[in-house]
Amino acid sequence: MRFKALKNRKIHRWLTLLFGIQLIIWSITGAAMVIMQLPYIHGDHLVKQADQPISNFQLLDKIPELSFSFPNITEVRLVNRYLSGVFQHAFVVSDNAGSYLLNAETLSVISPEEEDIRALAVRFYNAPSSNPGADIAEVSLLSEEAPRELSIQHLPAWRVEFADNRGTTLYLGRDTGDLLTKRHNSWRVFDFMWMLHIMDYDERSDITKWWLQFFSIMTLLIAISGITLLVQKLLVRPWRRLWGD
Amino acid sequence: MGRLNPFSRASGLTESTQRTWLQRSFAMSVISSLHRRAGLILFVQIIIWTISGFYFSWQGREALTANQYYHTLPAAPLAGMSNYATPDIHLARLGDVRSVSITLIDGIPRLEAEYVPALERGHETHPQTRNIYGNAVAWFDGETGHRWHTSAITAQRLAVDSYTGSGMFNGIKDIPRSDAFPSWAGPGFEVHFADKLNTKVFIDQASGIVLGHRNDPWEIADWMYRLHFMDYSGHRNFNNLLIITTGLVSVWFVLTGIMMLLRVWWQGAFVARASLPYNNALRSKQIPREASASEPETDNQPAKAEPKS
Repeated sequence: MRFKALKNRKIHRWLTLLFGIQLIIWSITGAAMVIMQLPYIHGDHLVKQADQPISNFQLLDKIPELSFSFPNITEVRLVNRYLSGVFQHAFVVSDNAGSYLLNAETLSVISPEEEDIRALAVRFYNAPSSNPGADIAEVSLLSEEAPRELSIQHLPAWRVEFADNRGTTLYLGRDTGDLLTKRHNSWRVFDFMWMLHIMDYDERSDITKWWLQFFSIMTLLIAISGITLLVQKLLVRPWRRLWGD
Repeated sequence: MGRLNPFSRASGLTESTQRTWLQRSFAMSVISSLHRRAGLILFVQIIIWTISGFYFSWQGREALTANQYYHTLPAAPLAGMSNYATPDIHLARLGDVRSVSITLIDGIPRLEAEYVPALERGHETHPQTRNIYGNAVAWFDGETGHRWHTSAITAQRLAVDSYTGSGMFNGIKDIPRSDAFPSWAGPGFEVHFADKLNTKVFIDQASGIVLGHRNDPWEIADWMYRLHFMDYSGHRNFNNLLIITTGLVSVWFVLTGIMMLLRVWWQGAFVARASLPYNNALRSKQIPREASASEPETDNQPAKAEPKS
């Protein structure tokens, strides 16, 4: 029995030395990720409603005319949005090629300028109470390449960074002014931990990597050998002490 | 903790009774005990984590979400609608409407209105129909101007459109709600297909939205989720108190494990082959002076023993 305990201990130590690093990473990243509340990580607190209430529902009567003029459109959305310095009703129109804005009165195309995006971003932005006057730090247009934190399907988009201690970044559609997504430092930390947890160091989304499966099996072996040691320590030895074996 | 060196074991033990409480707390026996106690609490869950984690990786995202036979048809152009009537009065009654969108669902225009709910008016909205701003959602039929109501025929067509498998339609039933979609308030339809996975498609009656597919492998994945996140209610609460507590205990467990590993490493437990030149110092009966922790290191002398050739 003593020989077995020694052997198990050796196996446990060696397996832990060779493959235990991932168990450490899983424990630390797993604990950290479950402590962080998901709505907070999603950044729901970073934004507020920017569009105003719709005051003229008769504009929806133009839908048949609109679908006749633009036969490829698959979705139309009526909003009251801050564009060109005023709130105005506009249709956000989608077809297979993308989305764009139309003036709801004239059905002419509206192309938001950088100033419109800045004004919209300020209206979407929910400033932290500790820093209510946080201003826009940088605005950049993304047309070809998306940063890691933005899905490429959202392009083209405006990236608006705010000068606050949360590292808030809002992404707005280039042609619609829609809020596409929001990111902040905690999200970035969470995303890094997720990368370490699923061991996909490139795309951070593939959970089927073979080395993840390999380390899972090795960790299972570490756990089984550890449990064997526990059983020996907590059951076998007291049993022998009790019965004088 | 001081120097942990195999060659200083004897001198370390003599002063064990004179240590402060802090030094005693970091003594290896205490750390081993902490590691064992944490292991005793965690051992079942660690095995569950490794097995369920392996299962997630092995099955892949598609199987975990029961999307083996799921696909989304390209949206139909609005030019294909035959009749259209704006539900102006209904929309005005909602009050603070922030957006209204129109799409075709099974050839019928469906309006989706997002509004800030006025609770005193008695508008009942389900939690899953709120967006990040807390807006509620209401759906209207663009042909009749009334509230949208998905018929069983429409639900069947929507289910077939979302399905790419080879199974035949095998029945539809009204359901008030379903445990397969815990955050969905219902009512809706459950559409069955006769395939080897026993696929079921869930449709929301109030909106005509295809909630998703479910099948037999998903049942296993669902239990794996519950076990992995220790959320036995199935509500996908990623941040429940049990998983947070166990996560913290597991961090304690691995940290004490690291300390034990460092200790046994320093003691020379990880000797692969005694014949390797690296292990000469350990095999030698004569302990080199440089390696002894009891001897103070000098600036000119390296602390580690040089391997002998």
